[in-house]
Amino acid sequence: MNAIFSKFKEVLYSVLPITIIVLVLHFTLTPLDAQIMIKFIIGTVLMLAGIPLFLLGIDISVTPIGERLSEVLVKSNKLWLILLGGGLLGFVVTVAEPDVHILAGQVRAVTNGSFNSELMILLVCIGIGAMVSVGIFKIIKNIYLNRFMTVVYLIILILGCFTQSDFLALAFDVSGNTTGSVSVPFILAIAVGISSMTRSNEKEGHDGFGILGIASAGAVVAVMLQGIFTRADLLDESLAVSAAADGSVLGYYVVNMIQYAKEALIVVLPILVIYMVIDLIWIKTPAYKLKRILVGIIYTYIGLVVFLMGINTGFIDASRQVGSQIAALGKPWLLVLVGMLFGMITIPAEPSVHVLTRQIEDNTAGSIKTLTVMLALCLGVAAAAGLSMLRILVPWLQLWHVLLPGMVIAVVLSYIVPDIFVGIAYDSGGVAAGTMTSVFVLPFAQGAAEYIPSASIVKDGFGIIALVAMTPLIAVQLLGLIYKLKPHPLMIEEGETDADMEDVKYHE
Amino acid sequence: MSSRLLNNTAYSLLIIIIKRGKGSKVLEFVYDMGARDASCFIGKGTVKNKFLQIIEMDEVDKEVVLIIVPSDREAEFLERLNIKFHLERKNHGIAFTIPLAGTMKMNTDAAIQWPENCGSDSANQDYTALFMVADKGEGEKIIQVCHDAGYYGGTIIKAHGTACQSSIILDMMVEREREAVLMLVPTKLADKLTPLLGGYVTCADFFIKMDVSRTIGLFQNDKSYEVVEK
Repeated sequence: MNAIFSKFKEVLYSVLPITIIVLVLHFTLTPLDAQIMIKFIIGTVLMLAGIPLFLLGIDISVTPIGERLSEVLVKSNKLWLILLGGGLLGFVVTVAEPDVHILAGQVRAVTNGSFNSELMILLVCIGIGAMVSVGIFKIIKNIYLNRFMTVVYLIILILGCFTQSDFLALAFDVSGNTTGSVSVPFILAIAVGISSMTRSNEKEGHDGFGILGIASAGAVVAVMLQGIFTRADLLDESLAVSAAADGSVLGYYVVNMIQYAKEALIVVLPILVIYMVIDLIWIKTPAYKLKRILVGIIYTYIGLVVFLMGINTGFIDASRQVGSQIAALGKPWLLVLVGMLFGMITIPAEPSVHVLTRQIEDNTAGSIKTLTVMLALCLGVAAAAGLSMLRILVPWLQLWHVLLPGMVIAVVLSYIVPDIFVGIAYDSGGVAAGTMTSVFVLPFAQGAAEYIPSASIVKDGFGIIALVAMTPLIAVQLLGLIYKLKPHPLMIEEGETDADMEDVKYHE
Repeated sequence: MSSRLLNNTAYSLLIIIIKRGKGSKVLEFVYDMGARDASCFIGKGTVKNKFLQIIEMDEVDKEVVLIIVPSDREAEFLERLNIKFHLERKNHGIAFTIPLAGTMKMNTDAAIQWPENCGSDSANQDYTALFMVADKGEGEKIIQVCHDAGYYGGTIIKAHGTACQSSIILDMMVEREREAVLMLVPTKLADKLTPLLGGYVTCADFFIKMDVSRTIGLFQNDKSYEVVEK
């Protein structure tokens, strides 16, 4: 029963629902092409191999690196250095994140180049870096997250009034996308590290949670500002669907592997280089720990390549075809239902979710269980996917009709529920809208939009990630509310009075 | 007052180190058996396996459950936990008991009579529990030192704060991050580890040895007891 085996078991349970549901749909409602089905199966196998290795690598390399770096920053004992360093690290990991570049490419395509997507990447990364910095300031100065986020959302709301609705969707999508598989554990580890380093009797040690929500807000503001000042229009043309490569299946996988090997290298390398440089100068890690980190980085890298390859080759096409076939059946309720189902089963398979729930379990000494948080996330994302389908079916339903009330509810709830849940909620927003959403929920919606005359692939496609990033805020905070209102059964039992003690076998 | 309920029984601390996620089940199980003072915290454990050590997969998530049980029911608790959680199988977790000189449940007489009233008749002289608290990051070092000395294993638990020195960061008093290490080592090895580890202990750390009365689920083969002199 070693580390990799237990991770594998965890991932197996997480990936099984997707596989089962796609298979069931294949044999009942939506028979898929044989080729797509084979690729889907291969994709699932690759996922099963990749995610456990990736998670293990994160555990023994990226998380310790983040913690170690935060330690170096805090020990410098200079506020400006901590903020600058934190901001720079946030900037670097976001630049390296492939999702940002993919999204920028899509934006370039749909705006016909009238929107400067390189500038967008730069602005987003600066926005995230700045907000990571501000987030660290918040941790050190012990500012309450709910008040902090209220101010941030007010700024977004004011900017939102001046932004076109298309850019509104784009801005929230970018924010969901920027927090990818490697930047999530890294930024989280830095925040949690700084938070526990500065723990004192006046301050809890787990206010590091929430940093991802804060960072995402930086991306939203950056894109909104660019949208306001450039006034570009989104063109209503179909996204070029990546053509399936011809030739042998093996060749197809080799080509893909080289591509993802490159992408993953760009993600992992900056973190390793920064660490090695700082290690040489300040930390001087003992050899056995350094070996552990290097081995961990290799695991992370291989795991990431295999995982990216699996989902990108196997999941997008399958999900898109299921979407268009369900839409073709002409039963709107079915589309919403299957959409919700897809949203629900995506979450357990998302590696970032596992990283977050693990950090939560570690930092709350196991009192908030992985499964509970994951369940809340599943329900939240199911709601988001269902609402996205409704948006495709009902043309007058705008994104902000859903987003605005959602955010108001989230902000109000954040004053009621326990602080730790507020932090977790804001983090899970960024985490839920990860790689899996873009390869599974998004193509499903796009596939459905192809079949519905009133829907546009581009306009309805954008905004889904935004919803997926918003609903967990409410779902997790509602979970917090349940915790607050109804103590755990064991807690009630521990609080037994002396009268009850007479029944206890001890004292017979 | 609840004192009328107290009798002369002594109590023992039952410690179970088990796979992450099983802790709550252990708590529920011992609750059903009548134990009321129990708590669970999370830790990291190690697997003794050369190959896994090389590929850095020797770390496993564990949970540590502390339960206070009457000494005379120690054996019963261990036995029933063993049946339920299969501790006798390899890598399914370990459990051991430590006789307690006093708890809030013991009355004064019981404390005075200790250890005569202690139900741990079968005091196990073969093992000793070592419990150390040190700064964050030192836990792995401690395990490494023991590893070099021929013993491999231990559970690291997160902790924070010291009574000795507190650091000041950015004009704020902050608590240090700490790590606790719990190890169950053969007594003859413990005597040799003590001076070795003593060298690593600073004024803020603490290092205690505890007698163990009963153990279950230990699978150290005899060869690994041999102490390698440095």
